[in-house]
Amino acid sequence: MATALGRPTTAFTTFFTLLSIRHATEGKLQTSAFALAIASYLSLHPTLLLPPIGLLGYDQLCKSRKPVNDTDGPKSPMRYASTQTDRPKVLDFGTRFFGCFLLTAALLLALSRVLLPSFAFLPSVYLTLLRVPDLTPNPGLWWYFFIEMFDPFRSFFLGVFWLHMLSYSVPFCLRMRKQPLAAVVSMLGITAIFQPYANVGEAGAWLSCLTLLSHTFEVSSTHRYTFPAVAVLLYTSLLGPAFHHLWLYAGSGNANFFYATTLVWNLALLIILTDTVYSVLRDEWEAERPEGKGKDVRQI
Amino acid sequence: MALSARLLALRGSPFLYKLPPYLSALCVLVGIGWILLLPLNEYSRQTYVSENAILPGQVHTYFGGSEHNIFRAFRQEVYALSQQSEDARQAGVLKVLADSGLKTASQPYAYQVAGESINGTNVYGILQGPRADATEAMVLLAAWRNFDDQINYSGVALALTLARYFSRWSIWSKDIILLIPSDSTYGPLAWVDAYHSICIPPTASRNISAVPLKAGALQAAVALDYPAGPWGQRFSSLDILYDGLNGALPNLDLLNTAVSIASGQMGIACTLHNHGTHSDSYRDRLSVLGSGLATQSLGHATGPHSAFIPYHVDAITLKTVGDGWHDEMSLGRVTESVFRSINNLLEHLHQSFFFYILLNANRFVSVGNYLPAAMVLAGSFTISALGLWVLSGRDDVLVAPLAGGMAKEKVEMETVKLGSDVALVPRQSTRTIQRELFVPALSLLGVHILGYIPLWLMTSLSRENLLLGLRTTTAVTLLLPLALAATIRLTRSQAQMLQSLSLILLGALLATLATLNFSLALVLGVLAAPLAFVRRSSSALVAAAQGILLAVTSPPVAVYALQRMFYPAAGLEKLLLELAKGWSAQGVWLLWVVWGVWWPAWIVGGVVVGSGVMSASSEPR
Repeated sequence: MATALGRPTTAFTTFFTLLSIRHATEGKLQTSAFALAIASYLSLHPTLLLPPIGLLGYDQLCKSRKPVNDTDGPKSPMRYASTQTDRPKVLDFGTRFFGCFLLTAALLLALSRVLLPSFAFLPSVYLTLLRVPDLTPNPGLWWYFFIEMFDPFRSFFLGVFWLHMLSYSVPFCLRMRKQPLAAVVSMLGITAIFQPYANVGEAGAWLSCLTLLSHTFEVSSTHRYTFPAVAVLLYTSLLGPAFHHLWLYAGSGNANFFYATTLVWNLALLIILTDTVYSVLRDEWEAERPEGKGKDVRQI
Repeated sequence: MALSARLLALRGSPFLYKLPPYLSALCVLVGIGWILLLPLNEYSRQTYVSENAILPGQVHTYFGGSEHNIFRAFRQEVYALSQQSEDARQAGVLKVLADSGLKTASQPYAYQVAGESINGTNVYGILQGPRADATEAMVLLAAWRNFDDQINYSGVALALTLARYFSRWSIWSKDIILLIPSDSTYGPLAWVDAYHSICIPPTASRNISAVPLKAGALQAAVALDYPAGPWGQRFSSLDILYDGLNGALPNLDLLNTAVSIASGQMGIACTLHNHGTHSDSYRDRLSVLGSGLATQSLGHATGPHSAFIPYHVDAITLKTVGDGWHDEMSLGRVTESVFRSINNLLEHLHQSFFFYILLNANRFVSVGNYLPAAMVLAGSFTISALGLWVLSGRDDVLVAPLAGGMAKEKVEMETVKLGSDVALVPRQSTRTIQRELFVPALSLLGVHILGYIPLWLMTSLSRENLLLGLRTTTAVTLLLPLALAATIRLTRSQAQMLQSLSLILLGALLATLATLNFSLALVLGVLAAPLAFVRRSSSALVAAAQGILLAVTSPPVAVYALQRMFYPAAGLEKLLLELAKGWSAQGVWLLWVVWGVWWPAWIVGGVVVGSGVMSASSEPR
């Protein structure tokens, strides 16, 4: 609802991202890559979802592919392409997926070039996303840092912030390769929290996507911090607009109140994200070791 | 038993489940008591001017001598203009301003609220400061009709005299705007809204034309309210009005400057909220504090200055009271000195406090000392909500029949182990039942959406129908909970969940409101306090008692009580009209907070009590 009030274009990005995920779950890699390319063309950050969605598509493709030497037909117990020879080749899949992505992206950029007078739209659209020149206050973490930063250090910090965000994509895929959907959802959470032009809409879309992992809700020992995190989200979503108004319109507060509220908002989202990762991993662990169900964990 | 074993047993113990209402009660008492402690010396401070550039009262004011003759002439002129038609009056004032060398313009406006129309024209002139770079401006206001609807003869005359006087000085580093609005509430509102916009599209309730001439960003505004007639009347003290719309306050420095100049340099006593003589006793301080809380929580305009404050323009009104020996030249010198101090500023007033409660003209309470009162009151709702949430997850077997459960004499026990500690607890206490959240959540959403109906009734009906609207709202408010409880059959657990969600939302909203308008949050916290204590009960006596308590503290009854206690002379219809005008024309949030935040929470409380009655009647024991 808040997104509808603000009318940003991230609604389209979110739509195409979700479309891409859906097609990946159905194993249709071309349409998935196509949708993801459109989403990345609109806002740059869905590119980070390439590895998880690629993994998800490959996984689903493996599951849907029948074994080559299947003589029993539909009644065969071996419904999955489980042996190495039956699976689609990784390189083959990867080339097709990335190729489709790059081709669609190139097509969209070429189309833009045809409609616009020159290539100047490339720096004005994509470099603004990368170099973050616009520091209008938003519920994200970047603007406050970059407002007070001295110019010589700007590129260094830009590099550090982007490196941090980029560094989550592949490790999620590696660790959660048995549950690629969880990797996709977790990566959605990372982009919702850490992107430079964060907004409430993407956070809301990610929170809705958490329901895709509902199989972890039923496990009793997971999701330890839902209630505090949701309560914090309620309070900060009320206090955020209040302090924004007090700072910019009433003039009786200052940026620190608003930024502190957004920090707490992001902290709550982060707690939900880490809790989700814990629950996914715990679910995997309990699947292997059923006697561990219900036991508390302790940090050593 | 070891302490850890005791704590383990406590998990299922009835003591913890009974604790929240007492904690909530403690929070309410602490919240109210906190306010009563504030007038003491330990919790308040003397005011002081924080901005070094102001230098209040350091300039010698030369307003006097022959300016007095000019003032008397202008006062007669104003009196003569008041006998003529509206157009002639405006033309006359414009001519006076133009003769003093100001650039003049006028701005008509019209508001249409509750079938009544409020029309007028603002007349203003801009004096360009000789040393100014035209980026900043100060405003001197003198409304034609003051807040009590008397003609502001001496105030307007003093403003015209000061305009002529100021135009002869070369020291002004900011432009001076002299504004003569038709009335004290809607004229300045129309002017400030138009000043800060390019054009305001006309709506059904508002038609403001654009301001033709503008100066720079407004730094401060001072309004004069001196309704003495053409033969003059001396006054004894100055009442300083500082409340803005929606409880926003100007920077304390502006008040401190005015008080310091008036009482220090000129020797004129300053009062607040029309409190006559102030003996600096606890009672007087508490009385001023109470008046401050009342005007801030209502959030309506209290003078011409109120409209400026939401735009971050600090503004005050100087109103003359009483019969004494100070005359218009003292007031003129006070104004001149205040303007000289504002003239010194290089930036907006920001050094001093924006959030304060004044106990007298020289004493204030800072936000860190009074804000916890509202937060603790909001906390009482949150504590009850958390307790109810945990209770909603308990098995019916453990709950007493009167509260809707089915507890039996023999309860199965089981041992619970944690490390090396062992405790014996009822078996169901270590399990939570599945919470059916859909019906409570949907009901809560529905009740909040229904809150727009009383809001619409109270703001859109025409004047004659407002009273009927209030009576309808009262009837609906008292009957709706029973109707809802009868249609939506709630189990004990669902009723507790519904109340828990409603109280969490109420607590969060009141805590947020406390940062915006502390007094409104405090007043609502006190009035809505019973909502944290009502519970679903099958006993008819308890339910009746709770019902009476809720009915007495319901929003419509509060409106009736407001009129009876604070505005007995005005009449209920006039009060409702003012409230409607506040919402439609001034943009005051009060009505939304009452009907959109408090009323839904109250309805939910009523539904919970009603559901107890319904369950008792449907399950004969």
